Amino acid sequence: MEILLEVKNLSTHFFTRAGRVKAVDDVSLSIGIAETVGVVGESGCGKSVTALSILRLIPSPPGKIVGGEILFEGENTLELPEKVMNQIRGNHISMIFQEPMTYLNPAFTIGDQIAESLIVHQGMKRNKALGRAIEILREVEIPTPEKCVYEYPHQLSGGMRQRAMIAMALVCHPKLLIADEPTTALDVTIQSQILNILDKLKVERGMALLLITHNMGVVAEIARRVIVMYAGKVVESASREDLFLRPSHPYTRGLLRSIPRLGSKSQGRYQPLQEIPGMVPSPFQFPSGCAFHPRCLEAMDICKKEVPKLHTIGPGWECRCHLA
Amino acid sequence: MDSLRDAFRRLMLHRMTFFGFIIVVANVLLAIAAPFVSPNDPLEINLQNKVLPPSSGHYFGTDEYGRDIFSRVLHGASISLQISATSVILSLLIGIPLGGLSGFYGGFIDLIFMRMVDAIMSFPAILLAIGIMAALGPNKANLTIALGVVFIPRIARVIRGSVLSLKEKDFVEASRAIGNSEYRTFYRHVLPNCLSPIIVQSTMLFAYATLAEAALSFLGLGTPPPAPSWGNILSDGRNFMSDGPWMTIFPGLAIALAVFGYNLFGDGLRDLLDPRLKE
Amino acid sequence: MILVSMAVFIIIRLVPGDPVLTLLGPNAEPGMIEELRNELGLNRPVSTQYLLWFFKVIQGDLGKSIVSGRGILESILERIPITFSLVFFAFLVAVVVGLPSGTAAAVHQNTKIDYLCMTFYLLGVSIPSFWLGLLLLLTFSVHLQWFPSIGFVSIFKDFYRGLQYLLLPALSLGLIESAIVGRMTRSSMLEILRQEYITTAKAKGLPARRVIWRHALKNAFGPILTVIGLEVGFLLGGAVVTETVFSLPGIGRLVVFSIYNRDYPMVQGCILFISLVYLTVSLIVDLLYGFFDPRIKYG
Repeated sequence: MEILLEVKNLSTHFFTRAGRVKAVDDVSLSIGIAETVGVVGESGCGKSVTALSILRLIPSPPGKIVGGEILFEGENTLELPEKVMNQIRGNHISMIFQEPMTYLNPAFTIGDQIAESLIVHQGMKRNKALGRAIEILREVEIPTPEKCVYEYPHQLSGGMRQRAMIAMALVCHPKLLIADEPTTALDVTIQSQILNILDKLKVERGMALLLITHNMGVVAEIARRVIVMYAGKVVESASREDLFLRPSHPYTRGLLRSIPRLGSKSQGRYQPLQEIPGMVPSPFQFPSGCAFHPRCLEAMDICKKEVPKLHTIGPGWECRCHLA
Repeated sequence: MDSLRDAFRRLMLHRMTFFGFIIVVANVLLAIAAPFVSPNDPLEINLQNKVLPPSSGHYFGTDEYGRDIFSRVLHGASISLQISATSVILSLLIGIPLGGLSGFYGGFIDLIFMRMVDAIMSFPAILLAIGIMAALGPNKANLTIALGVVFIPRIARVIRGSVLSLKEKDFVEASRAIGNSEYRTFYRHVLPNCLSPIIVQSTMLFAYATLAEAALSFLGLGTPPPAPSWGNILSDGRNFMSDGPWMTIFPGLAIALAVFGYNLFGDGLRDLLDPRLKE
Repeated sequence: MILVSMAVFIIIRLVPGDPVLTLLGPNAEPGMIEELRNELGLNRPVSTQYLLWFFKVIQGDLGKSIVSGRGILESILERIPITFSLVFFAFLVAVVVGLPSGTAAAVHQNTKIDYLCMTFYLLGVSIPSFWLGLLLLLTFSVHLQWFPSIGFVSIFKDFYRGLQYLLLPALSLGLIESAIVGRMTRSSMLEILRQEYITTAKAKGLPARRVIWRHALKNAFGPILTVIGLEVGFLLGGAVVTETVFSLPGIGRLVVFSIYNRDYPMVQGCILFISLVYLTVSLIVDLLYGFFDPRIKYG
């Protein structure tokens, strides 16, 4: 499969008064054309920062991309001038976010916000762009797109707003869509609708999807490959089957164990949810050595002292653990 | 109270605010010490020394009546402080109960009081002050009243806002649950937590009072001459701009410095007190 | 709103002391006092006086000045263009200096530009506008002789020359005001630039300029409008002082002179008029607020 986007050894640090935060530390991943890759991890593990780094949207006084390369179709985007980068954003690589209410501008109509991408990136005239906006609103299954185009974000329901945001991101036919927790803020029933829409559009357009979430269930549904992150580093990277059937990193195993499973009651036994002991470390104070060692049930002495390297344990399968 | 002590400590660390604080303290001290410190009697007329430029005998020069401007400016600080302090205190005495009770009890009282507040605030502040002074006549007491009236609605609104937001908090219910009367709840529990916005607002009002007193005196509607209010000195100096620019420069500088100090301090206080308390 | 204007009138009415005594001085004979009182209708109960006056006002009759005997409304009307032109230009100065500087300060937060602007704003709020006016006069009129210090030509008669007379007063009033506008603009913009939808706009690949001028500013209009409304109030008040400093024959100076001359009806009429203007502007601002923020229209 041809690689569309390759992140190589990306490091993004934040320089705050309280110290330097290594939000993303030597992260590498790749996304193939029309491939769906999921990035999972708990809050604070650096997955969102990774996504923002790809589009160079890191707020620059505290944050800075300090190392690595991001190759999009072979070109290192970290070295492109801002003007060229702007032509990539929203056009070749788009991004949607978690909370559509705050991520949509309350002062403009939905139609205006969608049409804007077309006007800016393709020099389209406003009327034509609005027409396209209606079309794409139909594609994301909004019931009355002709009306919706003239409505404001606060007039729509949560699910509708998320659809509108998807429409806005896809209107220029990007090759890659980065979705940062797109379903987290939605009701469960709406969640699956949104995921279905994403999947459908992805297939129709041959678009790659980078899905960021902390919900393993979502990942299991639509991702082909999964990347697990912890404390700013990639700890496991595998195909969906490998990851779910034979998780090799203790953290991955912990995550999978803690998913409530339907049916355990019907077997006559109550199984307590097995949580991972301890809490996610503060980015200001990552533990020494392997960042997971304080919470790891299989930790050894070496885990406290040395940061494990990424070991390849199979085709397309890597694990950052001393046990591997 | 702990938060106040805490804030005080942090204040000392925050340079700009500290600077403002120094200016304010210096202003207050000079104002109080004016009668003892000024080299000459600010009212003493000495026609032989008309309109002299600054010198070692007269640091700021003299005016058309031969009065020492330096001494006049010093006493001006005193006047300005008097008026500011009294008017702000007056507005606190009336504004706090007004806004506080209005916010706490709500309902009809709130409606009436707030309509009155709105009515007063629908005038531009300076105009209201001018109007009141026009009616009452220019002297210090009336000036205090006029400024007080202008300030009361502003204080009332700030307090009312605080009270409204605090009213819903749990500790208020807790206070009632243990049997405190409404009055006691208000007095001992709600009010103390409104302290910080009040303090910040009062500082700003001091700044405004200083400016207003000067402006009104300049117009002849404030502290009556020959009292050396900064505004009066400026007004006197108007006719001598080409011959004696020092008469215009120094008193204005004094006003600007004093107000600058209040503003700097007030801004810093606001930054320091508010977000911390929310945390 | 109407209730407010009612309250306003009541307050004005309550305000003055006994004008007759002040008019005639402490040595007046009782007979004269009675006569004047009758003429001015002051011996009737206060409420009657108020109602009479109110009705007259509605009919557009503000009465006559005690001092000059001319119609009050006349005097006010002929001074309107002057005060208006002063306030207008001061407003322009305030907006032209305040809005862009506030925006720039917010966009470049914590850089030199920001600190410069913040210092400017702090100074602007601390310096009395009349002192600034005096200083400007001192430098430009007295020393440099670039601008005239006395006299006046209305811009409606001779624009260019009129402008010369207006420039310094408009600057002195406007610059101080711009500090307030700038501050408000800066803090609103800071607030807005922090919002998530700004991130979205950037993620869409919109050029920075568009993000600021379209996306951010449109949301800033609400608070900016509020400031503008307040501004007009300040400007109207400040105009009184500025007109005095620069000896401009506007309504402001009329108020001050009337007070000196104990021309009580004139003072009343002027203050009433100015307040009316202010209220009208506030109303317009309120309406515009709804226009700019779609949430208010529907929500």
